[in-house]
Amino acid sequence: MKNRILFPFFYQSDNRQRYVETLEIAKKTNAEVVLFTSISEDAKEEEFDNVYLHLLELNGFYQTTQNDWRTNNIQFKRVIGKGDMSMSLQSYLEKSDNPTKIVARPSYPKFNTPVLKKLLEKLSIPPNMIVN
Amino acid sequence: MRNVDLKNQSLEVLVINFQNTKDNASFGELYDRYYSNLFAYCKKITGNREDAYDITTNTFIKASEKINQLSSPELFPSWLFRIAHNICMDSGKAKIKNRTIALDGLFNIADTAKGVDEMMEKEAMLNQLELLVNSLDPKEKEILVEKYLNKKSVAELQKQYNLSASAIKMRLSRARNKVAAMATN
Repeated sequence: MKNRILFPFFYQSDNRQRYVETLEIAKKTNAEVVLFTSISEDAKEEEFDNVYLHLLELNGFYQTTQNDWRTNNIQFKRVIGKGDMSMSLQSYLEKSDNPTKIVARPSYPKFNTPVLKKLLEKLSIPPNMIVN
Repeated sequence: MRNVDLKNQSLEVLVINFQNTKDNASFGELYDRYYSNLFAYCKKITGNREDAYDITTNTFIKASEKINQLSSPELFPSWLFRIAHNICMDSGKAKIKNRTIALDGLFNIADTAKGVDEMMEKEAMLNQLELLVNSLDPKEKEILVEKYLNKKSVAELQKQYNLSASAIKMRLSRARNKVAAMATN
């Protein structure tokens, strides 16, 4: 089974550097990257578009600074949950059959809720595998 | 060149810079200027964001590989959209039909679309048209906008620009032909 790196993000935040680091780890470990976010329950079309536009922005930054505008073999999965990020992520991980090996944890405070903290502990990932 | 300088550069300079030096930051600036419009264009053609995302990223990689084939840097936007259009069609992801619209059609599509497919095609074409018109010389852009967007007659344009009818028609024709050349490049 392929390694999996979980990349939770809020599209309103600056995730560029963390994205570059995550993709470099994915290249070295031949891992799949799960780009996970959650948007409001009553999200309009525009909010979905904003998620994709944010990921395109990250892609541009990665190609410009790291990858010389070449193709790469990294596999991505884009997952957009609805509602509270912690609950949405919990629900996704419980249903997922492929265990997450690495978590690229965002440093912004909004992400460090008790639920997410517990969730990360539950994944039994060694501390050195959590990228801050 | 520093990023702050690149923001002020014309697209021609950015294209030539990347063609000559493979400066990633120049291409990155081109990406930043067009990825949002290109994504919207691909979404209209494919009807979904996942495919539109993949096609947008693939289009830029292909454009970076083939950039030396672009002999007129000012045509970069239409060339980019053409690559995206071809990827959409080749991958079988397009929801709309691959149909060529003549230039006259391009300027008249706003009132003629029928049904969802045609509406989507119309919007995609208008998206591309807007981009092409934006890359024209400001005076040429202005006269096209006055004629086709603000629906002014030749007589009204005559008064506005203090020119003869034939001069107005000639200007319109020149501007339209430029757009046509860019669209077919």
